[in-house]
Amino acid sequence: MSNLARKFRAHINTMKNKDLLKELATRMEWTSGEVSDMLSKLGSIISTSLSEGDTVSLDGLGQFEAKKKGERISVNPANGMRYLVPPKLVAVFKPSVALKGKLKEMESHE
Amino acid sequence: MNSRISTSDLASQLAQASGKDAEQSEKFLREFIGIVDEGLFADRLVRVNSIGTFKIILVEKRESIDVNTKERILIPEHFKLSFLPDKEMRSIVNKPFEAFDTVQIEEGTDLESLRTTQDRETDDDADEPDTDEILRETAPVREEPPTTEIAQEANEEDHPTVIIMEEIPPIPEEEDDAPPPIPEEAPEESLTAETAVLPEDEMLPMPAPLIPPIPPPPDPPPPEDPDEPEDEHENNSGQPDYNDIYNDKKNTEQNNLKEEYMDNFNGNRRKPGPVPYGPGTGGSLTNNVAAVILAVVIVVLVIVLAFMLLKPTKSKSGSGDIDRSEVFSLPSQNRDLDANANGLGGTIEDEPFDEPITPDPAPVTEPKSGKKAPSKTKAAPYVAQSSITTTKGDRLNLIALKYYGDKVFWVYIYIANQTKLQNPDILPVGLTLTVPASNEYDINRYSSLSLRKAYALQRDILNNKNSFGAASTNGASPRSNQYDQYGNGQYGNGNEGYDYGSDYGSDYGNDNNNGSGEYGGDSGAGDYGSTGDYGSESGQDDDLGSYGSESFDDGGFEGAKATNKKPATGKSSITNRSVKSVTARPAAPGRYL
Repeated sequence: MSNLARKFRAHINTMKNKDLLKELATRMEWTSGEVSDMLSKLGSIISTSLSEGDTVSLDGLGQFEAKKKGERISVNPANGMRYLVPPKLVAVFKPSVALKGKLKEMESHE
Repeated sequence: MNSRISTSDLASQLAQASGKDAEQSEKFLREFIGIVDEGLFADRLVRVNSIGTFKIILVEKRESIDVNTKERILIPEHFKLSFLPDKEMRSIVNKPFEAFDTVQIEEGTDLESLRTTQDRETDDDADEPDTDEILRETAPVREEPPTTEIAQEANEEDHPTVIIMEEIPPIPEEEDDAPPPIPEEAPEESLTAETAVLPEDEMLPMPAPLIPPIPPPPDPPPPEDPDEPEDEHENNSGQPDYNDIYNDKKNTEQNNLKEEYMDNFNGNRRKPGPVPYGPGTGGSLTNNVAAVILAVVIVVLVIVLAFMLLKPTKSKSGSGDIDRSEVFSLPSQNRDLDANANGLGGTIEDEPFDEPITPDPAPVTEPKSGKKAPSKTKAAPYVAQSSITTTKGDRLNLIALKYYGDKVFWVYIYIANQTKLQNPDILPVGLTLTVPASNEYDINRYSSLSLRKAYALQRDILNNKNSFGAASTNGASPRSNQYDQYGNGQYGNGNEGYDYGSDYGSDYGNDNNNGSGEYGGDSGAGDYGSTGDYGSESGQDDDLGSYGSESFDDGGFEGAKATNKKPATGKSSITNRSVKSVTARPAAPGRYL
């Protein structure tokens, strides 16, 4: 394992929804109820826009898109049965150039 | 559509939705982005409810080939941002395709020819053994140009059998005249209605139980989506304008679903259809022309013949029913199979499946789940009573999904409108339906109790429908032993038509036993074990066993493995069941393999 990888592993924390809410609430000077309400509205706006085929961009972060995965045949390895899996739409996120740049920077720092 | 929503657009939409002013929303978004950004680099992972999880992952270094120079290059390890959408977002985004479920593809079929598979299966019903003939026979019915004279003969010979098939249904039918007769003149209409109403979470997964791994005895063809019943009907009655109707059908579908996606989907699916047959039968041009004419004449003759034969015995409705019950009555079993499969693996999930044994599981399960459920049950949004008018393409389950958030609650809509709806599979266009208030039946999609009740009800309704409406031998009702009767040949030995009956009987008989919750499964299969068909079938299961992989930890498959080791003595039903669980499980909305 490379040095970088080791550092990376050692460094995994998570910013959970709770922390995010708290941080947002203090910055906005709202109650956390308001913030979580706002966030879920944001989520549903993004989701519905995506399902209508729009892309949603968040400046500085990147953009959400809906990608269509075609129907495919999947095989159950246990018995060789084949199944036709229907096509589906999935939300993907493409990081912005700025964000990618930061990721690159992070590599060179560590 | 296909526009780009910028951050400021998003902010104004957000302002509208939340009632905050635009400035605040914009600030909120900015802060949100800032925090996610900071959080990402500080913590590597940011989870936002209702949106998803952003995560920085490390990509190991790897070798690759430069696209331009064709040289081997080493891609150094680097970071990548991954995003995993939240469950909620996933389901909203996938709305256009929500109605589809994973379906099983029968063994040994061309990967590309799903639709064709079904057609062939239909013909299997009529005359099983001679696959070659079947192949040729299908061709003329569906795509006009048959290529050889033999095809014609095959066609001619086969049709009488087909007709017999259609005659089976009236027998049970006469005991009971509940289902409205379907006039032949309008098969299209009635079928549209039928298929349209169908609760699709039952319909889609169904193919699995219907297709045993090997070309089964006269198993009903697997409906792979709402269109399939059409296939059968058209084929059985020899209607030539199959494709028109098929397309019509597709259009109806599209009313419900995002059209552009549907188009793609249909396109994909329809294209491969004719392929396998086309090149198979080569013939000269003149032969072709003659064959086409002959085919048309024969088809017309058959229609007339069928009409004359069938009319006096009321079997118009019968032939309608055969489709319906073949396709639709099985879900109840399927449900049970689900339950079984889950029980087998000990992986009972949040999705409540009704208890297979208890005829009316609701009261039994109530106290049990009542203890656990409330603690974590979210309250479902209250849905006030409303009334809607059905339009083309409406189905009870889709309405239920829209109003209550889960398809299974169609049962309550059905109950509330029972006076207007005789058969849940048939939803006439223009009917005014009452959608009951959600508290009237304790409809709560987050409550496993509520869901379980609905599933139990659904099974009861479907069984009921079968007991009065099952015109065909395969109208399966897990709790009745009508199949055993057929299986024993009570309805006549040596008669071709009833031979099918017996085959259906044993086939579904097995399913019945599975359905009644014999987790061991052996006892059910034993009764039918002597059938030659099953012998051969389980023989094949043994073959399949060689795929058996240790790592597959689903209970259903363990079951399959276990069975495969046993000698070929008609245990196939168990194997089938275990295997079915694959499709059965993804049947839960939004979960695919």
